[in-house]
Amino acid sequence: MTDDIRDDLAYVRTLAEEGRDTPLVNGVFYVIWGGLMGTATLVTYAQAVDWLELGAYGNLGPWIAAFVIGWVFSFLYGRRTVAKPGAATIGNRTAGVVWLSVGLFMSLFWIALMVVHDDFAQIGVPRYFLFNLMFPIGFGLYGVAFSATAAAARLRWPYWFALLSWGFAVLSLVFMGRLEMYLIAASGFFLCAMVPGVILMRAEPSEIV
Amino acid sequence: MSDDDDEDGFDYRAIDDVIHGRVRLAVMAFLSGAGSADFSLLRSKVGVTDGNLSVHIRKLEEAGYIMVEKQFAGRRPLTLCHLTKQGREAWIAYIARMDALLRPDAAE
Repeated sequence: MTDDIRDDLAYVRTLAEEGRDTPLVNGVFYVIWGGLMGTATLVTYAQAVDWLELGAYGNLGPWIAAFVIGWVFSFLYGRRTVAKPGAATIGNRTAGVVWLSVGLFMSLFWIALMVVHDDFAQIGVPRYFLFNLMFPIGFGLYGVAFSATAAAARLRWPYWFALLSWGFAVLSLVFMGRLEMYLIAASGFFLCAMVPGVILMRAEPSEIV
Repeated sequence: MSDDDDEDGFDYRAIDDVIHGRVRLAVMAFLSGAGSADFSLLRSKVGVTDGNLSVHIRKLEEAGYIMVEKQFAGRRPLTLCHLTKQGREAWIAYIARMDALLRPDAAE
């Protein structure tokens, strides 16, 4: 009888561990948003060094396009993600809410910047300064989101991406006002969002249950 | 000590019957780690049919150990099972009782 119970408990432990370690299923969003933000930053840089000319709204266009495409994709694909096996686990729900919050805040922050931009320019704040604040704040929030994801999903590697994100937050602040900052920020988006996104997508369960 | 207690004071009646069935045990174990899970994931992990799993989930729900939530993901129905506070407490108590049963001095 005791052996039977021990077998049952071994089975129970395996299941509990599987439940605790259910893979994260949001990797595709990291890849899409990282790609969009990184590309928009590179386009901004290309215009700043006169490699590209997009007209009067060239500064706004890439960012509006990136946010619109990102949110349309998130809305449409998000409904599919909810139905993925394991999407309801605490790790996945926490990671989903944290990253959604980061995305919402950054979108609102960007819209607010567009609204108050001229007011600050009138009192002497350089035009680039407010807009470029988005990068250190964004990378700072990335770091917080990676830490929360790591804790919720009981993973260690996202902590390294949290540190990397904070590194890019500091770097983009140090290079504020210089064109190189756009290259640094674009690298940050690709490294801190696309790379972990690919890692997560590779770890997702492939079976349809 | 009653006749139902063994020499170590273990009372088999203290084992929670609602949890102590292989399928329900598996469901509770998985949810103890995951917190919540959709029906299809539970079915794949526990390895039973839809009907069988439904019966056991209903029993756990009636005991207040899990909460069942029905949603739609697009047009697909989605059944989510969440471990409740009561369920986690029952699970911890169950594990403690099984641990007492399997202590080396009790097992001999």
